[in-house]
Amino acid sequence: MEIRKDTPIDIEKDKDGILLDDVNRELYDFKDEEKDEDFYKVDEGLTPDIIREISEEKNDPEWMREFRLKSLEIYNNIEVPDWGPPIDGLDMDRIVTYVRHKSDMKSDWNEVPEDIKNAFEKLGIPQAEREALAGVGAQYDSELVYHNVREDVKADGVIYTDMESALTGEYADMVKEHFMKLVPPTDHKFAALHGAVWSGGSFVYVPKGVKVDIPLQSYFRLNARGAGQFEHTLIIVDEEADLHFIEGCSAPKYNVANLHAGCVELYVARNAHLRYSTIENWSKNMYNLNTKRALVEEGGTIEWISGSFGSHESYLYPTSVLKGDDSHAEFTGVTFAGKGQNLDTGAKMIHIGRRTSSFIDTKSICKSGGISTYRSSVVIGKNAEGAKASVNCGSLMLDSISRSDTVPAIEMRTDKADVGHEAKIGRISDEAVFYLMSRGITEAEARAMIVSGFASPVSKELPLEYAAEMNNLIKLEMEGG
Amino acid sequence: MKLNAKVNNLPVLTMNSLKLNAAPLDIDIEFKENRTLKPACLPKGITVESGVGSDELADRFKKLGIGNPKEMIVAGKYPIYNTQGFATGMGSDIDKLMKLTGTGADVYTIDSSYKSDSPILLHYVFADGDNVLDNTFIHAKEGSESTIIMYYSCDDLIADIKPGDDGKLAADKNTGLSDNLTADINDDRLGILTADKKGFSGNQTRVYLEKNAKVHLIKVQMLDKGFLFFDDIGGYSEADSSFEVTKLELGAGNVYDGLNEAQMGYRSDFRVNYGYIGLPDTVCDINYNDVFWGKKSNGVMRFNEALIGNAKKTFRGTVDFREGCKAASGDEQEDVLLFGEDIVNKTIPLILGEEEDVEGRHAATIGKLSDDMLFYMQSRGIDKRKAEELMVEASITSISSRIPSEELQARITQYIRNVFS
Repeated sequence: MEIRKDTPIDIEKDKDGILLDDVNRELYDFKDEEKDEDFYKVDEGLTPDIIREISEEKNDPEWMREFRLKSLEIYNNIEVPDWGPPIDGLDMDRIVTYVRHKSDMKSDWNEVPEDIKNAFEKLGIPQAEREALAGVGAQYDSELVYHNVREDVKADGVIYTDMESALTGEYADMVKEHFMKLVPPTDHKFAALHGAVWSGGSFVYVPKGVKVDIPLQSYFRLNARGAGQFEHTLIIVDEEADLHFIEGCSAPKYNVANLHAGCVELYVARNAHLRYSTIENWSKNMYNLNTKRALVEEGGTIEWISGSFGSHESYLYPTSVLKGDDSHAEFTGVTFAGKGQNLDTGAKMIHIGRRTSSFIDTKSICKSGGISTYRSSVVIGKNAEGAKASVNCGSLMLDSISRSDTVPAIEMRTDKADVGHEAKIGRISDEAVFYLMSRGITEAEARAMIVSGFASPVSKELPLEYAAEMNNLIKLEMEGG
Repeated sequence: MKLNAKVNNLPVLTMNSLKLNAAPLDIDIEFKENRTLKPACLPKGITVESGVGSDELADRFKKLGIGNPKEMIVAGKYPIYNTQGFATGMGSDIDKLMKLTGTGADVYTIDSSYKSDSPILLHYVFADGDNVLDNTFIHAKEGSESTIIMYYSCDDLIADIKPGDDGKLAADKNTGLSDNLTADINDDRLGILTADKKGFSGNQTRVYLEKNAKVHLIKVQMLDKGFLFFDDIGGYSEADSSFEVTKLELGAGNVYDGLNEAQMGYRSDFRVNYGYIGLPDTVCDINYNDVFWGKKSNGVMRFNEALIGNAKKTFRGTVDFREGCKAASGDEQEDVLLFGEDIVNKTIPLILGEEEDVEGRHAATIGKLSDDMLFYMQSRGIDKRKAEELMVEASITSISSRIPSEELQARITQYIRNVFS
């Protein structure tokens, strides 16, 4: 058996003698040493004084300062969830909730500080902007360092800016009207935490009838050791409008816990369409406790495309609230849990309007002791006559030291709806590996090809560049090369 | 006595807002003195010992080697089951209830020599106001083959049946025991819906199958709507054994059902055929777990259900592959027909996997009768009501056809017709 030798890898054998390789994450794990004098940080922990300091630092309007303090109060009164991956290793008293570079946000890439620019260059963000994006936001630690949108998109009236500017600018009222209304701080402990310490993120408004042909992208990089990132993304796609938004995340690995508790709120108006794609590749010391929710009005469509590869532990269940009649939601996701990872991912669909429809298609892969849990809920409300929902989840286990669970819930409160659900768990078929090997492909490559094929429902939904990145991540996980 | 029990625990916890992690069972009842089944005679090869206390029973399980130390390793995942040496679906609180009330178990031992397709019938007859707990342990010895029907009803029609002329079994008014079920299937008293009687029937049944043993356990519950019925089953299967459970929940207004099957042995086989009709104003809470330990073990669970009016039902079904159960195969299917604007149907079918070399699948279809099917039937002169009846009858009789008793099958069919009449 051969494995690729072009990059250094650790090799171990499982009990069946199959080569398992620790993942080489050099592409994402590079560290840029932060010089203290270049960065502003609050103290570790979570106190009202720290919240006030963040609020002052960010020049919050008064209502936001009060909102943060109220959220902290809620946070202190909500218990940590007793289900899902254990988060005992996360000590909020050791997390720095706000870190920012002393430089301001730029709209010209050349003006971005050299150290930060290097980080994003290595990740290929500027190149992607040139080649395939209508606009880019780049967040480094707690604040955006770069934001730019193409002139023709601007001319159509599309607003794509950082949340801080939106909070005080022309769209301040719109932000206030929507901010944490879909995900209130009372929703769960980490939504409350987000409400208290949020920083950074993007605000997007697509006016009526405007169709943005090329995706917008925000990229989040958490570089600081022992820090948290709490960006807030608020997107409003007005009637008949169309948008594809891409979110990417990465961080270098440290030997202390980092935390990501972002929040995404998406408003999809009548007959509008929004596709929200995420390739999450946080480092494997990251607790990813993220909350994403969309509200869909009559005839609107939300599509979630989600690839979860990174993080030490994840709780991630993008939720679609199908409020309007004839609204539609789709969730397509792949999760790959490797050594030391416990990824609890899935989706929630809430059908309120009549003739609403939803479709969930997920693939979970686990390897080298990784734990992958698919968790979901589909709720059909009493008035959701004619609703249809379908759930399809597949799990692939690559060895017997890993674990894969499927925990889907369905609740129906009307007989005038139909729900179908199917889940399967299995392994890579020996016959398929043998077939590929008989054609000169190494076993490791054959297994990687099969896993890529298993995950293809997600990759085929992504723009080519991102599909290639996702396939590369799978290859990294499988081959270490 | 009072007991605030937590039963039907989901093997892994999920979001609390879904209210699926467990079901509360609050009991404040004075139970009747323990009832002991005293069959007039049993076929050769089957013996029964009555009134075996909880501690004595636990000792016997230990001596039989029942219980798996590996269970403790995953104690965080199974906070309830790990306290039971011989796990059941409703969990350890039912053990507590049996112990607190001093409910002794009837222990049936089926000798290796016993091989019969003829069913043994245990008929539990309830009068108005009966509050009764029953505890049963069935020990199927190596190579034995048996079919046991446990029938719960508020009538004693079966007790009218004459004992078989071969003298194998005699019927008893309270403990009708017969393997000669030959009632007139046209008897118009069959399947009559009554709702005037109230009571409580709590049951725990454990079945231990030694190597090559074969047991078909059939449970048919046709109590009045005023009854609370719980049925807590545990199975433990050694190599090459075959355990089949056929279950019909048809009458009681408040039902809790739990089953935990441990497929310990190589090539053990487990089947569930489950039928349920939820009438208006009724509640049903189900928790069935099939746990695979043995290599090449095979499990198939089928649930066919219908909910009417404002019936409420929660279904938890788990296929659980433990490390080492190589080449095991588990399959679970739930089909629910809905007939009511106010129904509440909750379903959570789990697959848990810590073994790579397995094949697991679960599927659920939940909804109303399809418009195409309805149109097809109406175009042939069958009205909507009749079409619904036919679909439910087809669904439930595909389960009840596993019962080797024409009379019980006829009762079930008649019951369905009465529901829709």
